[in-house]
Amino acid sequence: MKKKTIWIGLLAIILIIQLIPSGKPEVERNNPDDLLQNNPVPEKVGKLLRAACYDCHSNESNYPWYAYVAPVSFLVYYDIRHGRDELNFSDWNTLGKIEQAKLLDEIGEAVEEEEMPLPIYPPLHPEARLSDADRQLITDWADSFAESLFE
Amino acid sequence: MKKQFPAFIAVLAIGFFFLNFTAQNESITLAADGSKFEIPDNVKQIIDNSCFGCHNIESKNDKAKKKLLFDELGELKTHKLVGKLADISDVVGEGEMPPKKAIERFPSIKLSDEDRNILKEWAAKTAEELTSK
Repeated sequence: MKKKTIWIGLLAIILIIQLIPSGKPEVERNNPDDLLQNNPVPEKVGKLLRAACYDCHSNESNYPWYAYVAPVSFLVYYDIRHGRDELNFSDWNTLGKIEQAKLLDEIGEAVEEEEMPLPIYPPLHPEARLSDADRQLITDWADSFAESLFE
Repeated sequence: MKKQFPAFIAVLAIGFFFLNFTAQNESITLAADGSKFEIPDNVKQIIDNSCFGCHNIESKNDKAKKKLLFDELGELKTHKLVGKLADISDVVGEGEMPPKKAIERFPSIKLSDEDRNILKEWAAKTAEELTSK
């Protein structure tokens, strides 16, 4: 009897938290200032960025089914909001050269040091598991792309 | 030959004079690709006091070293330098640096509002100057 009450209570809590407004970040597929649309990014690098970064660092987030279920949704939406705040590839061409140089420096560093993608992300997204060679490719691109801005 | 000797000394002396002059004028630094940037004395003092302790080549703080080395700023190419300067301006302006933990351990590195502003403005201005060249 007691066990049953606990289960019913738990279920009720889960159902109730679904009603909490979670502020899901909007998805926008049409982004005229997008990095990949406006810049000569090598194809392989572009694919890696899309696979490993774009879910949080662009307006083109793909939400898996569990991202709609609280409390997971709270975490996912928080990460996406925060990620877009720091760096949003969909707005890349609206940024000035200085901001772009700063972000490219940070991209290289975060990818090289394996700070990005966040450790929680690749286990659920196999395509975002970066090999050492993938990481090197991204860091090299970030550096040479930044350098090209100043030529 | 004998007559040339004093002239030789004079040339040497003038040479040394100019060498000395350049050495004293430390505030102008060169980036790896030849861009010039300036670290005025008051900014240098702030950096020495509040940043250099962790962000130098001998530092034991590996994370800080990887992010930024003030003793190797001049070895960065312009694009890297601009990126670092913009980052300095951001993290100093937002109060992320120096880190709270470091200030707890070494209270003297705390930035006054005035110094924070000087450092932030210098970094932003220098990044602008290097970009508009």
